[in-house]
This record gives sequence, structure tokens and C-alpha cells, in this order.
Amino acid sequence: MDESWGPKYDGRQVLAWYDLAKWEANGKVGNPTTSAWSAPKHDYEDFFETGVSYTNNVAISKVYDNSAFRISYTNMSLGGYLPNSSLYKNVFNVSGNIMSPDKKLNVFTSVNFYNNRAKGRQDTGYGDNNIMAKFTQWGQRQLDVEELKDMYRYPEGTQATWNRNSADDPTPAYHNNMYWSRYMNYQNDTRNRIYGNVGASYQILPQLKAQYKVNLDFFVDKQYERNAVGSQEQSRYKEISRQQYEINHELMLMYKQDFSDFSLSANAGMNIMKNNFEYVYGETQGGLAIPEFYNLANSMMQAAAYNHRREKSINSLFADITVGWKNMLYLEGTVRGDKSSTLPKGNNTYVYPSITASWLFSELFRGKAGWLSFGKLRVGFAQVGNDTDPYQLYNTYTQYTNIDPTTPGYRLPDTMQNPNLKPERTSSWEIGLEMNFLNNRLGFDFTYYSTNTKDEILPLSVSGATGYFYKYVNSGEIGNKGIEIGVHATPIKARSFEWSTHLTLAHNKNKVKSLAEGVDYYRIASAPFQVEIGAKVGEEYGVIMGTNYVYDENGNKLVDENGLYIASDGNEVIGHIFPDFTGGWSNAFRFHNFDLNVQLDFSKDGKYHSTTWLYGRYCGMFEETAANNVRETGIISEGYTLEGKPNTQVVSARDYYENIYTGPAAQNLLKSDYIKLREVSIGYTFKLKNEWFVKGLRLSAYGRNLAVWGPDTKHFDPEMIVTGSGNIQGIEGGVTPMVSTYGFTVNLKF
Amino acid sequence: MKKHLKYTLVGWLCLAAAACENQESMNIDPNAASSVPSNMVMNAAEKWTVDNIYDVWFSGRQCLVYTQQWSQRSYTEEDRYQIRETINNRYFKHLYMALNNFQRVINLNTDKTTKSANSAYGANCNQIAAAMIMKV
Repeated sequence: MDESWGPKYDGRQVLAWYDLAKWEANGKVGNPTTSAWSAPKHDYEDFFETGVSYTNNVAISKVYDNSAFRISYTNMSLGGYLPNSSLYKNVFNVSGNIMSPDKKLNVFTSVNFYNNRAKGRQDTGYGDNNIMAKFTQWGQRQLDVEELKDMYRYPEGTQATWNRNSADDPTPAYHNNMYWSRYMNYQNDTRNRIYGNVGASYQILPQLKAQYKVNLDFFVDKQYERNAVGSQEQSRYKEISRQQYEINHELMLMYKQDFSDFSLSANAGMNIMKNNFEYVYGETQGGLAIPEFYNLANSMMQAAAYNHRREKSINSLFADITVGWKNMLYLEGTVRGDKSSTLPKGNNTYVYPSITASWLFSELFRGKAGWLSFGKLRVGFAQVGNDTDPYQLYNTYTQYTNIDPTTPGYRLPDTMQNPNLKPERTSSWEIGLEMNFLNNRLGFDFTYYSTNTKDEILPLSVSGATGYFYKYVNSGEIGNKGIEIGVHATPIKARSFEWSTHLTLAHNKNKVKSLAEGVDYYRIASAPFQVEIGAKVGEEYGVIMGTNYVYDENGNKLVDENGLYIASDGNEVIGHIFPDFTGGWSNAFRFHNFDLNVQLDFSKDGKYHSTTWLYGRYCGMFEETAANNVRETGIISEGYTLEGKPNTQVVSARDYYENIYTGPAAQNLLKSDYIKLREVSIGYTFKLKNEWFVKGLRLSAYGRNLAVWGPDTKHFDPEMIVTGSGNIQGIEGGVTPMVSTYGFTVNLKF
Repeated sequence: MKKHLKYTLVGWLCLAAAACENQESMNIDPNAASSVPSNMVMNAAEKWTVDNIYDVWFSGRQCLVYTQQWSQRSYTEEDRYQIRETINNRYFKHLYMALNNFQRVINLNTDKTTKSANSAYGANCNQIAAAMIMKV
């Protein structure tokens, strides 16, 4: 039993899992105790801890006549808000430069080193150890987290869980104890990353400079995953190692000169990029032999090893030129040509230009119209070419299970490769107007853009009759149009008090104009049970496909003879994932040495499908399944019967909410609208005398994610779904709740 | 001045030379074999076919349920003849994929460039015949 449709909390005595577990742990002496059937003293919210993080930073810099030098070190430690989680970071940075005595030659470098250590990252999605899925999807509401914590292991080391197979079999049926998941089945990882550059520049002429720079970005990732012996799933140990380096050599000539009314700057250069990625992992097979010994050698059967390598290079030539006239008219043109290793010969070189014109018309009124402090009009056209990931051109074989040990099996892969791929192309138009008035006290910035992406390289699904599932193709065309408006104002500006405010609004609409020939739908991702996210010709990019309600001609939902909503036969477009409107509004106040900042964000007209909303109600986990006495009085589905009469049939709450899964998927669609109090910060700056050792002192406090208004249901913060890790936009499934953070900062300047 | 231009030019040439490293050979997948002997393809094709017929879905949750030898306890869609669209599509896709693999065995034994190499695993005509039987 992993649902929560039990009787009313009436205090009757029941034999709970905790009673049984305690009795078993004590050697089954006498009879197990019983406990009252009542709401838990420690509900799921007590599972979460308060995470505390500390950040320290030291930086020293010094500038000499012909050289400069800077060192900084940051360390951060974070105790997570989930039990048994932590994160540590160390960041080193060294940068500096040396110049020749005539200052023509400059040699410079900057090196950053990151070191990360994390433990107990949250499992996401429909995974076995995603504790959120146990709290909100499949679970029971009378469970007390203190009891779960107290007894997640029997004295002999095996698991004790609320979801046991039977009264005389304490092994887990479907779900691990949440504390077992956190303390026994945790993962940890480390990451070491180094990136930086070394370069030299030489001033050949006062107007001409040459520069060579090499950038390196290198990281090594290690990841260790465990599933302990005695878990619901098979015990397992997995070790992953990833390594990547990307090196860029860049050579550039830079020219800059002014002629009376005209200014000219031009650059020409080349870049060589090489990227190399390696991925190796080993995994035990058939479970672990010795409990709590995490080594690949501890595998029941021979452990499996896998490796993957990827290499890619792009060689480019580029140039740009900017011509200015009287600091008023500017014309900028760029051109870039790339040659990529991932595209077939003949199609692997792509050249793309851009041109922008801008007119600072406020220069015309300089000194004449005092109310206009700044005015600029710009028009631009740009094109960008893009390659793809390596190894999509030539067909290969995939290894398959052997029948006999001497003949390995090889089969054709799921995705048909394509030796005729072309580069992707994006063209965009943009027009913008920026104006400031009254000494910049009031101003706005307006932009309209339209972009068009063609030939995007996608593995489109093809008819099974081709013998493949997917094929890499240059797909059709996706258009994107939108406006962005920013308004800022400083209504009050006095010596002791200042108020400034800033509002931004963005509206965006996109449309899938065509995919490939004969293809009108492309699946981007699918949720574990009900819906898919896809691109459909004629619709916005990012549609939610699922079964819908069935409506009569007046737009009323239809209800079947059992009083439950009827689902459409096949998948239909039931929503769009991207919001039409997003924006933010920030306000800053200053009163003497105090300052206060308040920031609000909002999003409108996006939708998402929630697997938690589905199972949370199916399993009776959410408040809605018991509120207003629905469990006693039942529910009437609002709608019309097939005979055309209003539905009056009362169904039990459980039948109603079970139809959430079997009925239309549209029932689990939620709006992602929200208004959010993103951040409030308050600070005090001490005015210190210049001759003192400490020259500046500032104390400030902040709070982030303080409140959300307007979501469809109080159970989720829609923003978490839109940006949450492990979830594709538009699909929710057991997300970790959004956290509010509060912080305090001390800044000292010497 | 001239000297500096010369150095710059040399620098450019060095970079250009480094860039001319063969980009095409870089795009050959090191993670998967591009040519495989016909017996290994035959082997996998047979196993694939059988795996996808005697699997939990096609056999277990559909055929055995329809012939009333099995029934399901927790997810009972198939028992109620509510066929899941994606699963049903998958059956056909898997079988088509098997056909494609058998066809590949035939091609490997027909194509002039691969025919003689693959005769090491059995006479070409016998391999073709076996693959054709499996296709049916």
C-alpha cells in the first residue's frame, strides 16, 4: 500500500509500521505495541533542515609601472537543506601582466582554479531515491518523519521502511525509507576545473595592434553513486569519470583611427578551436556482494565498463569594421566564416555576416533641447551559422547482447545518420529605440526583434518501416518574434532621500513553420506517464501533447455514464510551455546611509504538466482529496452527460481522483503564472575617514524568494518547474521545493 | 616595422598550418564500429527479434493477457483492451528494425566489396537464405 486513502484520523489503535519495526528490532518479544491513527506530530516539512552557507573571499592586487598582479581566493561551504547533503568550493585566481619598457609589448595571463566537492545531491524525476516523489506522489500522510529517521535501519543493518512487503516480511515493497535514501543511497562528486589564458599583444603602429591569445578550459569530474544492499532497487555501485578540454588559439589584428569627422575601427583575426571530451564509467552487475563496500570489484557478476570519446574542431576567420561620423552615426559590419569537423565535406564551411546602424539623434539637439538627454535609434540584421555534435554523418553499428560468448552481436543503431547535413542558419532583424529625458531621470528602451532559424539539425522520428526510429535531418523553419520594453525613472532625488524604479517587460511569440517533409511533429521530451513536449508545425514551439477533455459543441466538458470526465482518443495540443509575458520590477530607496532594494518578477501564460499533481491526488496525498469533506460526501464532475444534460452524478472522492490518471491528461495541466518577491535587501554604509586603516564598512542583509502570488496551486512554485534541474521545461515530476535564502554580508575596504 | 609584420605573418602561417590537421578524420566515431562481420549482425538480429517478442510487453502484458494465460494486478490497461499507443507503435518499430538487420546481412553477402570477406562465416548463398527465412 503506497496510497493515502485510509479512514478518518479518529484516534483508533492501529499496528503501524513503526510498532512492527520496533518489535522486530527487539527480537519479537511479546506482542508489538499499537499506536493511535492520527495526524503525524512531525509531518514531511520537518524532514527539511535549514541549510547554512558561508563564503569568504580575500583578494590582493597591486599595479606597478610596467606590470600588474592580482591574487584572489574564495571558499564556500554549504550544509544542504536535505539531510546528509553538503557542498564545498575553493576558487583560486591569479592574473597579471608585464610590459616592455616602451610599453609596446604586453604579455598577460589569467588562471582560475575551481575545486568542488558535493555530497547527497537530490535525486530527481521518477527515480527510486527522489524523496520528493515519496512525499507528494506515492506515500502515506500519517507517517511521522521522526519515526522514519529513528528506524531506517534494523540493528543488523537491513532496511526498515513504512512500505514493507507484508506484516511478516519487512523488506521494502515499492519505496525506501526516505532516510535510507538519504543516508545509504547517496551519491557524491568532485570537480576540478582550471581555465585561463596566456597571451601577448604588440603595438605595431599607434593605430595598429596585433594580439595572440590561447585559452584553455579543462575539467575533471568524478562521480560516485551507491545503492545499498537492502534497498528496494538492486544494490549497485557506479563510478563515473569525465574529462574535457577545450583549447582556443586566437590571433587578431586591431586597427583604430580617427579622421576629422570620421572614426574607424577594424579587426581581423582567426580562431582555432579544439574540443575533446572523454567519459568512462564502471558499474557493478547483479548487485553488491558485501554490504557497504563500494568498489567495482564488489560486483556479484563481472562489473561492466564503458567509455565514450568525442572530438570536435572549428577553424574560423573573422573581421569587423565600425565607421562613425561626428559621434552621431555609426555603421558596423561583421563577417565570420567557420569550418567545422562535424559537417560533411562540401557543407562544412559556412560564412555569416551582420550589419548594424545606429543614430544618436540626441546629438542634433545638443544644447538646444535640455529635456532630451539621450536618444538612439538602431537597426540591425545578423546571421549566425551553427554546426552540430560530432558523429552524425556515417552509419555505425551498436553492440548488442551476445548469444554465445565467442560471437559478439552488433546491430544497426536506432538513429540513421545523414552524410548530407548542412549547417544550421539563424537570421534576425532588430530595431531599437532608447531615450532618456530630464538628466536621465526618466527613460525607456524599446526593442522589437524577429528571428528565423532554418535547417536546425535534429534527430526526427521516422516511420518504423525505414528500420530506424530516428534520423538526423536538417529540419524546417522556426520563427520567433518579440518585444522588450524597459522603463526607468527616478521620481525623487534629494540629498537625503532617493527613489529609483525600473520596470522591464518582454513578450515573445514563436512559431514552428515547418519541420521535415512529411513530418509535422517532433517529440522533444516525454513525461513518465502522460504527456510529451514537442514541436508541431503551425503551433508555438514547445507544445504539451496529451489527452484532452472531450467537449460538446458548446464547449462543455463531457462526463461518461459513471460520472467521470471522458478523455480524447489520441494526444492533442493541450498547452504551450513558454510564457507570453515575463518581466520584473525593481525599486531602490536610499535614506541617508540606509539603502533598500525590492525586486519583483512575474511570468504569464505558460503551462506545465505535473506528474506530482497527478499522483498527489490519485494517491490521496494532497489536501484537495480530503478538503470540504469530499471523502465523505463525494464529488460531482462539472460538465454534461452524453445525453446533453448537466451531470449530477456524485462519485466517491477516490474514484474521482483516480480518474485523474485514467482520464484526460489535461486535468494535470497547470498554469505557470506567478508574481514573485525575488529579493529584498537592506544595507547601511558607514562613512569612514580616509586616514583610517579601514576605509569603508558596509553591513547588509538580504532575503531571496520571499513570496509567490498567483500560481494555480499552492503546492508548487511554478518557477521551480520552469528552471528546476532534472526537469525539462513544461514537465514537472517530484521537484524539490524552492528555498528562501536569507543572508548577511560584511564588506570591508582597506 | 617590416620586421614585426614579418613575425606576425609567420605567426599566422604557423596557426594556419596547425589548423589544417585533417578535420574529416576527426569525425570518425571512435565509440562505435563502422564495419562488422555478417555473422555478428545475424547473431544480434536473431537475438533482437526474440528479445522483443518474448519480452514483458509484447508477450507478457499483451499476448499472454489476450490468450488469458496471464492477467495483470497493478496496471491493467491491456486487460481492459486499452492499448497504449506508444507501446503498440514500439512493437512494430522493433520488428521493422529486426528486418533491417536481416536485410543488412543479405546486403553484406551481396555487395561486391564485402561479399568475399563475409564468405569466411559461411557460403554467401547460405547466409542470404538464412536471413531471408528469418525475415519471413
